[in-house]
Amino acid sequence: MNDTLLILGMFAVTYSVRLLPFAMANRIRFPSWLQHALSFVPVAALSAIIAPIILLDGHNALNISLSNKYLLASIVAFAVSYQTKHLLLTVCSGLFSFFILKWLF
Amino acid sequence: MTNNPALQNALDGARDSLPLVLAAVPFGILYGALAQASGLSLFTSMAMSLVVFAGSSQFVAVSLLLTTTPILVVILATFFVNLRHLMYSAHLTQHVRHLSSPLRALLAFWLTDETFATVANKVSGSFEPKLLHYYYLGSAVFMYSNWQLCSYIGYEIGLQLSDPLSWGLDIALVVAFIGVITPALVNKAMWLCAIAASVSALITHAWPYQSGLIFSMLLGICVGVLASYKGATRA
Repeated sequence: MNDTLLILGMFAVTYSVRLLPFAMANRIRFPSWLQHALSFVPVAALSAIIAPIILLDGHNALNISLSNKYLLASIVAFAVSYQTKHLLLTVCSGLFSFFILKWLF
Repeated sequence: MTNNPALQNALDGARDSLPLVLAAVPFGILYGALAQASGLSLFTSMAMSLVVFAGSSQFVAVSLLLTTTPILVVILATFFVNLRHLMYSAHLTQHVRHLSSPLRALLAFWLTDETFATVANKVSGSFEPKLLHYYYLGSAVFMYSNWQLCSYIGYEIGLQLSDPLSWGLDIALVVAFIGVITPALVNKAMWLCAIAASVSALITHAWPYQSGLIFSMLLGICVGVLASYKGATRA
């Protein structure tokens, strides 16, 4: 019973958020300033998700040093992405350098 | 290659999502393992993946359940974590306007970080919007079936292992998102947006229920908009 409630509740709050703009898509038109603002959503959202994973340690403290394998692998991934713009190559080089570092140190 | 343009677009959508789908594999497994550790039954764990289908929300939910949090708090946390999908959905609205309501309802159900990143990337170039939903569906169905499979595998692995959190698998998500963000940094406004959102996310990381994440996204958007109007480097 509690499990059913949990899942239905989670479904209701996630789906309503996803559905609302799509459901009203043919009734509302966003003004151009809002559309311009929304063009920043992917970069803002994804940056905010990964920055703490890369730079914070387990105690919420900033770790900018050569011992931070997340940071080093992210720098490799960024360099590859900047040069090639190739997503699969970026993921592979980032993962490869992370696990090499983990294996070496 | 196929002569059916609908099928071809679906296949393209699935192909373009491949790196992000692969990056989601460890997360699906980790979710399944955590769900098992938090005491959920296999049925409930899979029902959550099938019905809720929101990776980060499912993570937050099972980590809260590990510490016996009231259901209402778990649902509220789920809401906040998934609030960014409001912005994703709003961003794509202009491209789904011409579709029927049931189809839009279906597309909304399958909206994830990964499918959004793939589709948003596609519409930023020149693309026939009439066929975009096939592209979207190809990406979404691939993502959805992969998520179910990985959740199940994770649950089975969780039965064997004791400490699934120590694997360090979140690196896959990090490098995949770097691969999406970097090509989008085309002007000063986008750079400032990324920097502002990142710095803010570091400072606000300890805020409850990921409210700092939502705050940081909004701050990043504001900084980007202000920078683009001020510096006349409009995207």
